[in-house]
Amino acid sequence: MKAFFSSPRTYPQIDRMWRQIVFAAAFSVLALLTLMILVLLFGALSFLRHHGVISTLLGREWDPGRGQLQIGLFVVESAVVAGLAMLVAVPFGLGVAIFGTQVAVGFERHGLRWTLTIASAVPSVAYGWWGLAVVVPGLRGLGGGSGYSLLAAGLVLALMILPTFSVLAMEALSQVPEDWHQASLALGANDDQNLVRLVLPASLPGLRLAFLTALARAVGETMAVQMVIGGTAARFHGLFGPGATLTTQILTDMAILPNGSSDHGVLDLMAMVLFVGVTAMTGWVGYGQGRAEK
Amino acid sequence: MTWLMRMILALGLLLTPGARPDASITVMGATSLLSYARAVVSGWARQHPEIRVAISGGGSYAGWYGLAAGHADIALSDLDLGRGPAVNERRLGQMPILFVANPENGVESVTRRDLVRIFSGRVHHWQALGGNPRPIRLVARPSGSGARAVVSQSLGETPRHLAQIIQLSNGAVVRAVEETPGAIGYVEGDRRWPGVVTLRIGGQAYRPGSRGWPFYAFPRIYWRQAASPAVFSLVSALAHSSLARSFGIFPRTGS
Amino acid sequence: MSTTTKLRLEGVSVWYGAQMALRDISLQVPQGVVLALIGPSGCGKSTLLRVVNRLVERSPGAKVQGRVWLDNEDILRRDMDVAQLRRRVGMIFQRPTPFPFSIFDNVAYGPRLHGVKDPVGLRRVVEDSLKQAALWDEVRGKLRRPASGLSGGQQQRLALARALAVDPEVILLDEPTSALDPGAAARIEELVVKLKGRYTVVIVTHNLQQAARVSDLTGFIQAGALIELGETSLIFTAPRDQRTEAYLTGQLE
Repeated sequence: MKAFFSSPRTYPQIDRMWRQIVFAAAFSVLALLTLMILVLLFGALSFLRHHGVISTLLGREWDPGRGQLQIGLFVVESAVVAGLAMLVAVPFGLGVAIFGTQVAVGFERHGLRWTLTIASAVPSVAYGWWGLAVVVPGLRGLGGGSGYSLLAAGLVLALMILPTFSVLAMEALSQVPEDWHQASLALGANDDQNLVRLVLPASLPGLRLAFLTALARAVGETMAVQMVIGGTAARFHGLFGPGATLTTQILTDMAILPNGSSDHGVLDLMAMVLFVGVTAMTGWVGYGQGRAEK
Repeated sequence: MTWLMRMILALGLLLTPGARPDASITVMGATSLLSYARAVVSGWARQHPEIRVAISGGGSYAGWYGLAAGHADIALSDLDLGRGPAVNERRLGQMPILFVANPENGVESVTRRDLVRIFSGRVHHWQALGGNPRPIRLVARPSGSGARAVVSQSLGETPRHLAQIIQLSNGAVVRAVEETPGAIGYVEGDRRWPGVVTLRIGGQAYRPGSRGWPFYAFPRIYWRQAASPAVFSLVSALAHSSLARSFGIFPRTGS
Repeated sequence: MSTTTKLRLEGVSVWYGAQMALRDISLQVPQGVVLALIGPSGCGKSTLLRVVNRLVERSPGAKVQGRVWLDNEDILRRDMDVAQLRRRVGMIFQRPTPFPFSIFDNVAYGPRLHGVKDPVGLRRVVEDSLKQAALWDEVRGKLRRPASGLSGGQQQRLALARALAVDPEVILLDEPTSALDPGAAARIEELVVKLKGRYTVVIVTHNLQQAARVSDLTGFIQAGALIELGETSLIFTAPRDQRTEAYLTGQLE
């Protein structure tokens, strides 16, 4: 006992155990992820072996009951809905973040951050309800259609990702050190120049991360979108018309293409397309970042 | 590295399916039959405390494939999925399909021919059916739903260029119909939904057991011929339960 | 040495909330001269610099009284164009503060703020400024690399180049070498000496030898008050005030 307390021994076996635990955790996460992707990939590829790649990805004939399984329409509508959401959420969120970090002080600032953090933790179904109660009726009056529409889905998503994006953007903007602010002001910058020429460019990496996180949330969201998008899978009905995204159509047609059915692979393919799309976006944005640092 | 091997092995064992004890039964299938199945199972399980029963949805097809793959012991369906090899089928009776409409459409009764015209897009205004001047909006269930199969069998497929609003459950259909002016949709089961008008068809309102109602789904259950006695016992309970009527499932009247 | 007064403070006092940071400071800095401000930590030296380019107003609760004249223009007056003032009065901070941009963009930051767009002109300004800051030889051909890759001493010279690029009249140096190793500090000192004459320089420093080496005038500040101001050689050899002598000997021992 005495030796235990008096000598500053190291405990190699404990160190090693910790290393193993950490390594095992990292390894199992990686293994599960790989397994998941492999399962999807296997399903997707075996589906594509029996169906044309081009016609499947670009065609828009969808009727799983009759074996018509072309997903082009959902790819386009996924992109439209996510694009709409980003188009609305990014400028607004940036505005909120700028207000929150450059203008608001003390209570306002903390209150804003607190509110946004809470809002970003609200389950997506709640945003779906809000969409049903407000957005769908509102668009019905505006667009003349039923209100269930791509636009409704885009707006609901925009509201859903706004807090996430704003909080992360606030985080990014507030990472700009006071030293830099002062150095910029000391060179004769006014507040607007400070923002445009220093704060925004300097926090670009953080803003990119915020953008990607929001985008991934928008692309992957299913429930809130399903509640307001209308779910028509046959053709493009315009922004005010109903539609379906990759995620909502997976949800809808899981019933007719369950695990074990011969065409189930098309759902794997749809998930794979989502996965590849988001990964490509990440890579693209990351590439931009790499270039900017050169 | 041996610990790593052991870990992989353990992980593999955890993920291996099929290590189920005999004393459990999985019921899987049509969402419209889930509440009925739950009610029957809770009574049955009291007499068979040694057996665990798991109930999950996923739709008629999912139940069918689950049965084929061995994940499920009993499949619930509101569609006729045909007969697989070594699979038993039992019909539970019939479940009405009701048409519901937004109250402001100004139409409370339609003919079967009207419905054909509505769901084929040949008429797209309630005014043409004696109602208020507003466009008709179709609310439908996804392909794979039993209700949709019955409706399209009976009225013909809705042309694909029509913008239908797809909803995933009876409740969601009713909600969309209630909220959307001009909407019409269909739901399974004998239930009065508030907020919407349940349409009379050919002047007739649906009554339990009434002859001549044109829209019925015929729910059924499937199980493997080589099932355990416990499965047969539960099948029999599902087939003969007196609870069926309170869930809108009635003996067949023959139509 | 010219006799025109470039910078003149008249009865300047500064409070942070209720706390007084500077007490009734009056001093004059002739054109082209280097003034060193010495004194114990927290005595108000840095605050004095921040009054001259009005960065002090950024601190919450700061209140300034008195007059500051730059070329006979009252720069504390309400309608003073602060951005214009700061263009004329450059400042280098204790810690090097390169922006997270390329070396070129760091130096071009100021000129761009003031509307220089022409690429040829910008390039010339950047090159001249880097040469003046004795950094050109080390970064030539690497102007597109991130400034964060430079060493601490290089970063501080970059900050100087950045300040020089807007062609200021007065340069304020706030302990510019305290974060640097002796070699890098020596190079900055050389630069300060070189800048003398063309620019009016006020340097705050803890390093008394540095003050003695680079400055023409030295002021000793203690507890917010200017105790003594005079020719550097006189202050260091024969201070008139006992407090100055106590500080100098206490530090030099």
